[in-house]
Amino acid sequence: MAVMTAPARSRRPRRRAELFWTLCLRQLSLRRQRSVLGLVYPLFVPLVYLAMYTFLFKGVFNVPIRGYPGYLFIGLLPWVFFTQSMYQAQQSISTEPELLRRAPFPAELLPLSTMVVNAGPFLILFVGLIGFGLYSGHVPLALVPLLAVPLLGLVLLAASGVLVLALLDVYNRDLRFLLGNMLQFWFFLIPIVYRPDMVRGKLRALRSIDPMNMIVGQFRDILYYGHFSRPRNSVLMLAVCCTLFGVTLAVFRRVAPALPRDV
Amino acid sequence: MGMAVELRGVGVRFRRRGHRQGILGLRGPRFWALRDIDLEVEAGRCMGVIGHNGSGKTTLLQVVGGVFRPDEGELRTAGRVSSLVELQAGVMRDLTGYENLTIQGVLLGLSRAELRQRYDEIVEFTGLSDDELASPVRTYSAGMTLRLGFSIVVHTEPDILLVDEVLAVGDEEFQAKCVDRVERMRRGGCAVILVSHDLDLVKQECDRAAVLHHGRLDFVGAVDEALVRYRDLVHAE
Repeated sequence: MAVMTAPARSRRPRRRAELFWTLCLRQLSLRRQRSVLGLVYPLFVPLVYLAMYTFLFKGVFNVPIRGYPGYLFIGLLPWVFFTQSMYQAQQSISTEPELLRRAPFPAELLPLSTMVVNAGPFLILFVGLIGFGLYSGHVPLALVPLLAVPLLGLVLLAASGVLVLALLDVYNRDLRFLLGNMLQFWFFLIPIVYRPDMVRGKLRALRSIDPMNMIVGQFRDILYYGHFSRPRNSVLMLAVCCTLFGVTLAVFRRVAPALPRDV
Repeated sequence: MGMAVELRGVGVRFRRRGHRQGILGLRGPRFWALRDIDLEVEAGRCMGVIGHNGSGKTTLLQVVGGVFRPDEGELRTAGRVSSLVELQAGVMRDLTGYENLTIQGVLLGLSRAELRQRYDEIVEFTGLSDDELASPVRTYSAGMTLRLGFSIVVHTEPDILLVDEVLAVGDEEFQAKCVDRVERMRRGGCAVILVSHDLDLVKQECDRAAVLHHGRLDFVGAVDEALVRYRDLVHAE
């Protein structure tokens, strides 16, 4: 097969950036439609989880962790961003067959724009969290720039996740039923509501290769314990996340030309 | 005038739905929706494409528009391609006309700066009022949606325009406006591929015509001969 056309406009970086920005604005507009809470509710989701889990694990089970709401929130915030992105991006391609057939454009922009829109509430709360950490003296100012490391890891991991899920959903809808349970299982594997040393045995080995566990651990090192993780851990985390993203993007782009036909 | 569109031995395969397709839906039989398509359209010319339902006309436009990648053969297009293939394609029914104009414009290749420059002209061409453009598209009639879609497409100033049937939806006045605009674009060097069941429109607008039959090119040539061939095929079925 040989296809020779004039250079696709969608491949030009500037055009891509404009298209991406427009798709993000479109997401925001759609969330606003027929909804009072559409734009602000994502800000409350982590806070609702924080209240629920604090009540359950501190109030009922009395987990022995000092400053439990802060400890919990630092882990909960990236996790909620990650899972909300997964849920909302999962059908981002399969529900848009008309858009995909309207004009040739990079389909990966659909799930990625969903993720970026989700990043808004996350970043607002995250800045608030940093501000609170600085104000209360828990977080040394010098460590704040280092938060970019786990932040980058989180974005890469979430981007990999949304691409995989959006792609799989085009070809098989079963994950729509399973995703909630799978994410819940994953949530309890990661020490978000408990301390890592409270679980022993095989789970530890499993956690050692879990990129989300590494990311949560590094956020917590800076924002809760007030020190930066060992550089080796950061390099390992970034290597895992970059590899995942690279592989996912390569697979996605390989399959993408068939999407307008298959969706 | 140079060649705007060239297809050489183009074929496109689809998966047949409703069969056992494996866990990812990637197994199961496939069929050729288009096969061995050789077609050329010069800049400034209008090629009509006719054929019965399911003959591959829309698929052909999607291939030329770059949406479907051919499984075999070679496709060459020179310049910007815009399509009016599906009336509702890409229109967000919950968003307003204004919002849809922006999204569609960027999607079809206009930069936001170009869009700002042409905004008034685009809005004027739609013939829709401010109130209508500020309302969600779900409140629009099919004709109003066509006005919106057509206006944005013609203002992308394409070198190749693909039109699939949609002109039949608008009122007579807007249809005449569209046909006039397409005619002007063609005189300006834009190549047009027009898919229609309206044989009078094909006869009136096209320089040449192609007849598709079961995904294969049955005839390409003079419009009158193409119409005769098409009618023969219809009677034979």
